[in-house]
Amino acid sequence: MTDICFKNKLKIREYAEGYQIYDVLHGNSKGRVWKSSLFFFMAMAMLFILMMNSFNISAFPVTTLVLLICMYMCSYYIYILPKKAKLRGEHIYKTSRILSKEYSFTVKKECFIIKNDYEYIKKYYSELTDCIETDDIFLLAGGIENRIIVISKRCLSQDEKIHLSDFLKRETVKKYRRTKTRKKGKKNE
Amino acid sequence: MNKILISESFLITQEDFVNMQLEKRSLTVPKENKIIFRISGIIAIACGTAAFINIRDNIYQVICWFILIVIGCYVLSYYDVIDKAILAKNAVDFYKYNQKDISSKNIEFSEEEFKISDESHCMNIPKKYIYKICEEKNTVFVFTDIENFYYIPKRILSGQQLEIIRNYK
Repeated sequence: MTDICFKNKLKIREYAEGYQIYDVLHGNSKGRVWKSSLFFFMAMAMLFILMMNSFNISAFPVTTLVLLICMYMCSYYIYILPKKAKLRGEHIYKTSRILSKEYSFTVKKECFIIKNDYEYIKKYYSELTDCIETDDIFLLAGGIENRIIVISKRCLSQDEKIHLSDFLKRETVKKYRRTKTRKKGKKNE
Repeated sequence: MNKILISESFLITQEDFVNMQLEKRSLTVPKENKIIFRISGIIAIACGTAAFINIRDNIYQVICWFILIVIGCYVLSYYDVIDKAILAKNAVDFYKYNQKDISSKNIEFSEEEFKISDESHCMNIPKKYIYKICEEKNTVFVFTDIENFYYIPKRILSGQQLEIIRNYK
């Protein structure tokens, strides 16, 4: 197998997307589906109680309050938390003077190497806990430092994308996942 | 000439890792969150206790007030006891799982840059690129942005070296 080498430079939305995905897997957004479902069912139970009493809110203020809180918490986990994670990713990128620097990425048989003027990282595929591919990025995470590595597909040719995707699928096996991201429209960066 | 101010080597122990995780949490959790949780817990316990004493028409009400008191105790002690215990246990498990990948680290503070390296990773950060340096009870954190950091256990640093780090940025 010949090594795959390329240069990469991240944009803010790419890092934010990677951070958001990582947050869903291991951060504050972890378990948001079952948590929002729990609040949804609690809200439905409160709504049912109110419905059985002809929506007499003044007679059931606690039930109404619990209903409103559950509705807020449900929407918090579904909509607000992922958005907060993305904004935090953008904030991390803006406060870092290193994430925006260009780096070279070398894929070898058992490890990959990331290198620029400030940093040198050598990681073995066995250290990774996650390898996520989306339409725009590859996200690699794991190791004792638990740092995320985001590779932008923008800097890769079509052949390189396919080659890298197949290679990571083979080497990371159970840790590899392909997800689709919803695009609301391109923004200026 | 770039004068080297501090040069040390260390190996992260389980205790260092657990201390780092706990102290990182206390740095990142906003103080308002802790205050809100404590106040909410106290209110829940107070309401539950008052209702338990005054309103006991049937067994279901008693159970509800008891549940409210239990929830209040949970919320009150969440950040101080529960979260810390869970975090410490997760840190121990994480350390044991990744123990084979841990190698000795070398740190260097010079007049112009901070350097940290081990077998698989090397970072040279110019001093001006360091976001902030935080000192906690057992750990010194060197942040490269609001989230990513390198940590140094204080046990390897002398008083003089700590003073240099405090005045570094």
